[in-house]
Amino acid sequence: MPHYAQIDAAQRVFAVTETSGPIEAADMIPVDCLDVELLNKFYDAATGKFWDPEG
Amino acid sequence: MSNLSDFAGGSPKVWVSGTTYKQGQIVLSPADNYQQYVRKAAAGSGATDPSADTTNYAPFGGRAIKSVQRGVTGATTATSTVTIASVNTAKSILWAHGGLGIQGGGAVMPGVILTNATTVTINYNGAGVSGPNYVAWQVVEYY
Repeated sequence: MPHYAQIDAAQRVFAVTETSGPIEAADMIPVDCLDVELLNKFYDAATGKFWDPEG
Repeated sequence: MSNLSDFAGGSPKVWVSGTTYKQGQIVLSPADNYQQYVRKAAAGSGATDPSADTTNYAPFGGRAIKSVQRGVTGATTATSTVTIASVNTAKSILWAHGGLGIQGGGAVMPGVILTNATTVTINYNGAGVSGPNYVAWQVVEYY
């Protein structure tokens, strides 16, 4: 099943989801699993990586 | 004419347009993944699949799960909208698995709502919350 990190306008992850089918949207970033550790991290579209503002 | 299965039981048959079915007879709907429907009207035939013919048929028996979607939301605002794959809201249940936010110095429980076919809304009903405040949820869709 597909997994996504959903980001807000500031690129911050505010939700991680496991969906029943693929979703194509700019704010839905495909990820490997339902990883709650991604919450509140920021997404860098240039590198495709998530970074922790506190780390 | 009666069939042996009318007296001895047997598996429901696939509904066929134009075939006459008796009141109380159970059929399988081709248009609804072969889910069971019972004829509630007097004996008769028709050209409308039982899943769309609410005048003459009603859903019968339990429905299997079609899909499960789940997520965790870390809200920092009064309202967050999460995108999910499309579901039939009339056949879906949303389960919220806890969640507590801090708002104005007090603890508040968020509303978790299946807003439409593709949206789960997390609502703290008021001014911005301090957070993030985590809420886990699942959307279970049935056939």
